[in-house]
Amino acid sequence: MHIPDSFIPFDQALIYWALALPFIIMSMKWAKNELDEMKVPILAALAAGIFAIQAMNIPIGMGTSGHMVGAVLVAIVFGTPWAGVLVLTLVLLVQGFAFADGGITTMGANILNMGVISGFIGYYTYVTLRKSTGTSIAALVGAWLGLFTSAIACAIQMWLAGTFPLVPGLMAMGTFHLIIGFVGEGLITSVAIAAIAKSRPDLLEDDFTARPDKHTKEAHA
Amino acid sequence: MVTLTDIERESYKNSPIHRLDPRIKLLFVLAVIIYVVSLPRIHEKNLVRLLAIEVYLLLLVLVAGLDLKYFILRILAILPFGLGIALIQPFLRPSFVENYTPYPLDLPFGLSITYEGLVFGSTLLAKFLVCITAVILLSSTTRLRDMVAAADRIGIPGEFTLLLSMMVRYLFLFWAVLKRIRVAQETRLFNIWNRGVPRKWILKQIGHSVSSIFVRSYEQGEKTYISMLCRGYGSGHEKAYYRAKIRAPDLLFLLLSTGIIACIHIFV
Repeated sequence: MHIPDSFIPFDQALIYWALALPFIIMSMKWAKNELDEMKVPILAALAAGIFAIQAMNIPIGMGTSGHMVGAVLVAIVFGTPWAGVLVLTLVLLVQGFAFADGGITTMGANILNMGVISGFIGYYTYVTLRKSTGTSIAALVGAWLGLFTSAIACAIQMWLAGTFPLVPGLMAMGTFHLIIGFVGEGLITSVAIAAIAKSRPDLLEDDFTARPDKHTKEAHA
Repeated sequence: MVTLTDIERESYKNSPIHRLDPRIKLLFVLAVIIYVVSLPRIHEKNLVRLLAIEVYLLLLVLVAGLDLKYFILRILAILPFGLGIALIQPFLRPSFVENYTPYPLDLPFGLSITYEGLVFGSTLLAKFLVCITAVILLSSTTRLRDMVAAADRIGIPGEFTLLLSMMVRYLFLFWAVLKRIRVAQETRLFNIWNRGVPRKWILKQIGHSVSSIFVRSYEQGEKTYISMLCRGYGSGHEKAYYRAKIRAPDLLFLLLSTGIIACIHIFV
């Protein structure tokens, strides 16, 4: 889903940068205020971890494999979509400048799709669903929907750019990410959240332990 | 496959290009990319201009003494992402073109290609190729931490570059963690395509690996943060970098490059 350079004309790419920039600044502000400033380094190591997580192949079926984006996972753990935006911005910056994966001019659009849209839609879907369906299904649907909407946004941007027609683009990106997103993003996020809840429940903003009387570990540190 | 360590090996080489100030290289690559991206989408001189820039970039690769096999592998690793969309263009009718002329070519299945689509597709591919060549040249001749230092000096806010510099440091650690997980899985004959075990179980294992990397990176962040506190880290922290002066070769390179791009634009 990384849009490369030259797939979006320069003027439009600037608009996406201008749209993404306030979100990046807000996410920095969030990190400084909410994470009591000093904890900011944790996000740096976490971004490196997400970078590695994105390199893991996940079998989708019929010989294709996908990988996670991870914005929703980070957002759910920290209990806010801003965490997803900040971590994904860091990851996309390194991917763009060190690997040429995703463009420099189009990075604004990529941050908007994978960090902002995916993070916000995914996280708030999860929040609305978690009371009625339980946390793991909410995490699954949230991550799935987050990825799907960001793929749709990507298809629309490519259409506005005049690079790819709208309807075939929506069909291709939509169906592809509907399938990839269910297994690669939804299921894996759900399993990963459950595993984190077991090993380090103190990391999670929300209480994921089914029984409230269950003894929670003290945060070491 | 090109891995993170290959990139590091190449960027630690020593050549006139490697020795240039990272700020200058960053500026140069940005200028090339912006010039290339803002070329008109359909223009008869596009391909020649893009070819000329590509040749210049490849000359720089030779001067930098990069391993050519490595360089080509890196381009090939990135190419498929855009190649598909560029190749399909001749069969599409670009929406921004009012009148298109069908290409006089008979194809089966009632497919037809348009002249504009062909030109647009080839330009798109050429632009894409030049852009990734420029970025790969930058990342193979500049160490990651130098790039972050350059971003800091250019005026990116300090809090942000602090995050970036720490992330770059731990990139290699978690790359190694990922590698170890893969090796450990292989020794246990874990294969994501194994049909002998339920898919659900495979996905669960992958989910656990993801959470393991997540928790490890979080804990690494905590540990680092505590040791930073022990060493007196506070809000008034200062970062120290070596050599910050832009010198004559840097300026010469910048002048030469802008001159060449201008010449390509005017004379080609």
